[in-house]
Amino acid sequence: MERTEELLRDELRRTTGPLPPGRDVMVARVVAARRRRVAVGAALAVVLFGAVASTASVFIVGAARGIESGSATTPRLHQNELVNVVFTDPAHGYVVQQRCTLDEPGPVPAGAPTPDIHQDCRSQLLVTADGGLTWQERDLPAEPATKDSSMDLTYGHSLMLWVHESGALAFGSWDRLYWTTVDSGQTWQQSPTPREIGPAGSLAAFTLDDQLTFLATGPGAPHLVHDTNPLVPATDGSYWLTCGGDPCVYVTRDHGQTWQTLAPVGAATRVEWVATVDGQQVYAGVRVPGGTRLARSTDGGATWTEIPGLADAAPKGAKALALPNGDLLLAQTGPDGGLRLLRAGTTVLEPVTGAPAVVMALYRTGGVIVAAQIMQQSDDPNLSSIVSVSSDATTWHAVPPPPG
Amino acid sequence: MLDSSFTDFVGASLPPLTRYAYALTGDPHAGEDLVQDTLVKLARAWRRIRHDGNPLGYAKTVMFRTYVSRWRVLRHRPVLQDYRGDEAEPGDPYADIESRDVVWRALAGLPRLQRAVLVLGYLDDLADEDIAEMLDRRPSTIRSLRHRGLQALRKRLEPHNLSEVTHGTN
Repeated sequence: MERTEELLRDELRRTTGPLPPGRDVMVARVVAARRRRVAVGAALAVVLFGAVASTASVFIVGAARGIESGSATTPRLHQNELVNVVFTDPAHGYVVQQRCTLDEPGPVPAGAPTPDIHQDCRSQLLVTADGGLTWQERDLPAEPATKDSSMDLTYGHSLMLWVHESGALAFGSWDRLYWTTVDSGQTWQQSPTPREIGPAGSLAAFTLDDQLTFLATGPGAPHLVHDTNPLVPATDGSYWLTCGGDPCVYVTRDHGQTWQTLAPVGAATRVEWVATVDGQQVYAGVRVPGGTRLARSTDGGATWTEIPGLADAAPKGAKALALPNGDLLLAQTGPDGGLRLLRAGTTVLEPVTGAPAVVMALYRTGGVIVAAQIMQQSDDPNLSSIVSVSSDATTWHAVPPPPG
Repeated sequence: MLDSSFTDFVGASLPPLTRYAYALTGDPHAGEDLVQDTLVKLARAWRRIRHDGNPLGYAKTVMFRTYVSRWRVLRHRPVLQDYRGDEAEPGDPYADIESRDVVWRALAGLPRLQRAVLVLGYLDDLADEDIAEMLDRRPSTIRSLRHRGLQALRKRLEPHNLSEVTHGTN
């Protein structure tokens, strides 16, 4: 049975699915469907109460016309997706975003052949030398540099951009070719060898300084690391990971040779996220029957205590990032899904203003915090920012979207 | 009139919802219909859902419950036939693509409740207890569905010798 499970898991994870429809197209479909249901319900009520048949017919025809005029047919769809953010120090940072323009085919009648969707994509490199206050565009060495989702170590954190072992910034394409730059992207040199993929069975990970490394093995099976379950590197060399569906946390302190299993809270049903800076003070968002809890260890996971008063710290999909000063940044835990900050030693979550409203990626790079929405689609070519960076979790700088 | 926060949510959640819907239906058009039905239900109770937090989690639950309920009989769903073509020779560069197709066809042949359990169990690594809560079934039912689903999959995959195919981690 294990081979079947492995095949199934591999296949489901490898498949990103079709291109989603445009936001405005889907909203129009929802509006039209709701209007149709209301109209049909009203028409039935009319019939039930014995109203004149012609009245009902006119109403239904009117409703149908409304649906027709409400359904949007959008000729072009504009999309921006974050590829990766790398800061080599708190001032110098690099962002790669991919902008695509898609032909929107509109509704396809049942039984009709699937239309070809024409898509033009272009990746853009932005460079900052002032911690994200201002950004300049630089040319990438390869075009078209289409993003490949199999290079995502987690959402918004792709192996297309990393720090090469030489210290140079590296940019790679889907076919493992890569280029390096030592002058902030002004010139690029192609590597004569393809990007490393590591020994068989090893697990690719980013180090704290965004270099590519390979842990000897995964904890049982590498599949546990995926889009929403990132490996968390710590300054003591350890790597942390939740157990996926099980109520535990994995940690390796010998670069993947061995993995230890820790249980933060006895009655837990699942650990939603794990966060640490130094591998000693570790936070875990834990789900228990009827709610969630925040657990903290100050001895590298040997013992855990619950932080009281934080009953909503780990709903499904929540993300967390530990900061060097002991604070903890949480995403997707509040009513609006934005960021909240737990200052060290306190038990109150403060809303963070100025950060993106929807945060689906949260990580640190070169001492800078990255909060990103990952992707935006719109009929309007004037896209808005989907990535913000901050050095202290309170002041945020939006990264401009790629121009149309 | 839809709340602007709902529109924002639709924009942000379409990629993950589309992926789940495709994993469930195996068909892009049926998947879009499922996403639409899910969002229509969400729109009705949007204020409460938004206030409760985690609308994406709520949307996923709605989607899976919709899928395992009467959705199949209300929507036309294409039926994928079992693949009976030539098997790939060892070293065939297209063997991997073919094996992926076989897995999808095998998955498509499962009853929708078994398929939903397998998608939640292996795409999201959810425990049986979590799946039970999501699909409003007992954990023992989910365990049984998972076991039966895997057994059926293995039976369908065996003739294709997929144990010979290996995937790298990168």
